[in-house]
Amino acid sequence: MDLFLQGSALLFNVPNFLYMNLGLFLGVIFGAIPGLTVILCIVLFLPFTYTLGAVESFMFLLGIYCAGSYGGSISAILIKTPGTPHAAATMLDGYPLTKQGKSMKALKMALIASTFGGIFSAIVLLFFAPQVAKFAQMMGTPEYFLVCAFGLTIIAGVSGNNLIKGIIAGAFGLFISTIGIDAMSGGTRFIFNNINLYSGIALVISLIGLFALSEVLAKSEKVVVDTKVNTEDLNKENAKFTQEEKKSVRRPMILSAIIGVIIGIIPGTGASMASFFSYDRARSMSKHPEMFGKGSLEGISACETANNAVTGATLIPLLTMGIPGDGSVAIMLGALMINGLTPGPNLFVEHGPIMYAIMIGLIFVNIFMFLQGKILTKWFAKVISVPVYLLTPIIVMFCFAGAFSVNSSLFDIKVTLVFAVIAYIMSKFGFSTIPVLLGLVLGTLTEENFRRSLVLSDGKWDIFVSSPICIAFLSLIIITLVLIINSQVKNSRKKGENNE
Amino acid sequence: MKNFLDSIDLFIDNTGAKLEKHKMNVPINIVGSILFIVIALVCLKLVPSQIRVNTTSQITARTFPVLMLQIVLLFSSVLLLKDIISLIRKKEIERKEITLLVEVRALIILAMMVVFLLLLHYIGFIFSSIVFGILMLFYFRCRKLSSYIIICSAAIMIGFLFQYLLKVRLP
Repeated sequence: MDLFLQGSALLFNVPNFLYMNLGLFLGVIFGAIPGLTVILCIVLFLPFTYTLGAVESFMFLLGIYCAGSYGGSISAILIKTPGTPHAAATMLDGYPLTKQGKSMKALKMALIASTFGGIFSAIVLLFFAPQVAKFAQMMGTPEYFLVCAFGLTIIAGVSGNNLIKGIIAGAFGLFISTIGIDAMSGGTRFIFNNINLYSGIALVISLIGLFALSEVLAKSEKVVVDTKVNTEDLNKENAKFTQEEKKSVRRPMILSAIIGVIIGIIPGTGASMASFFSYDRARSMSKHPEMFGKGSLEGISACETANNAVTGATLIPLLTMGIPGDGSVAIMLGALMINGLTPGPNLFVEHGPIMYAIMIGLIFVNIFMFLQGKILTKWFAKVISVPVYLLTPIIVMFCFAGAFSVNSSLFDIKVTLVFAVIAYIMSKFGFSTIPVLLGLVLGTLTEENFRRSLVLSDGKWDIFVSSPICIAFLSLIIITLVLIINSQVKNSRKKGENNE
Repeated sequence: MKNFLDSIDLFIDNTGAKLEKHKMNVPINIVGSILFIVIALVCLKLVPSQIRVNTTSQITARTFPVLMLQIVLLFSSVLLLKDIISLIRKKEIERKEITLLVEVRALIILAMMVVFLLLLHYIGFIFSSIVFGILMLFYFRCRKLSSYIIICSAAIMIGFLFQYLLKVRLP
């Protein structure tokens, strides 16, 4: 209870709420505009958090993360183009409603469902995270190394369509994280006598290259299409729900919130899986399954509740064990580290009030998301029409200024460009960059725990099977690998059959 | 002026049409794995010179990076072998069509970013951002004057935002 009160005291400051709302505002915009992503938004604005405290930074980033989830539904409903991948399920019923002249109703439903899902998962986070943290505190260095390995394995397996490529990308990211001075021995590694590389490659610099500038290079492939939204129709529409409509969405919303939380806790699963799974469940339980795909409010409520219920749940493994559930959360892990908060089992012991401030803050993030959505939806709908040719140069300007701001060095911009080229080439050959990101984020922690464990055991590898927790995590890694390989074999067989 | 711009557009369209015809069906797993094998081998070769170790201990600063490079090498070889075996068995392997036009476009964007970086040395952030913004609008064939005004204003605003609000001394 003490920590709860201390956390509340830390949270209830005007700057926290200002940055939270700024993050929400940006998140909706980046989520809504097709071609811009939540990861891109977090990466672009990460340098801004350098001057902020831990709670302010996290409120800002959580604002982007949660609102991005909701923002994706705006373009999915209005122009049949999901702003985020997990809004694809929302599009199935949202766009037919727009065609029926009920876009405002669909947008309102998406907002209510997103808020409900977000608050539900924030409450689950508040109650469950401290319990998981207590368990996590029993872990030593070998256990923690295996936790990192588990996080890396699961992300490597699910972020692309090929496990082997995921492992290669993850190991490559871990290797890059070793560049610079070795904290344990004090020696330098792969710096090629360049003084700029002494402290290694800052996370933000690599992220800007991997996820922002590489997207700009990828614009060479994508056809730029201007979209126009008629916002006048939104003003004329009566978007009030009937009693029957209100009653019909209650059950799918509650069920989808639970599904979203369960899926969100499992690293590497993500909001897309949650929204499609919930959509399917809602359809099978509905009294009017025939309406799904033709403009069902139940369908929208299920997807939107589920994809926002994931947001709080992904923070459970992140804050308690340092395992990021997806790319966006992995970047937030980096933000924690920038503020001197080392992710892992001791985070709740050493920074309990900050952790509570973040968890309570997530509830308010969702409340303010609702308020902003209610007031600004019509304006957000207009944002979709901003042409890509205007946004692209602005993104690059932000990237260059952001990369420079880290160390006030032009060398960092060069490094960013190198990472952009690496990401571009990797994408050409079907390698996902998410495992590289995870390798970069978890690199230092993984190596530290790996080396300490081996030093403790005089180089004997059996230390990694020395405790029940170690064995449990090793088993989890093996089970995960078997499941991923199994599903990939099945998929390739299906593809083969389809080709025949 | 309009005629001049139209003639440039026509020239670009004709060149683009020629480049678009040049397509390659690349076996992505084979090329990708070879790329990573080369990177891993080069880095492993560089380890003794780039990571100096003065201890006789088994666990050193080299242990982890070398292990990671070995993992890259091992799994890249597995990926390569898998596709080579599929080729021998005359099975389908993963391929991707690479169009020369797309790659040239990517190179042009990259070249514009490099120009932006080089200009930062000489004319500072705001002016080089304006030049870059104008180049990009040209690249996207934007002819609206309002867009050029927006981009120039955005460059100035970003410059001021970083310099005065975030206290970053931009070049």
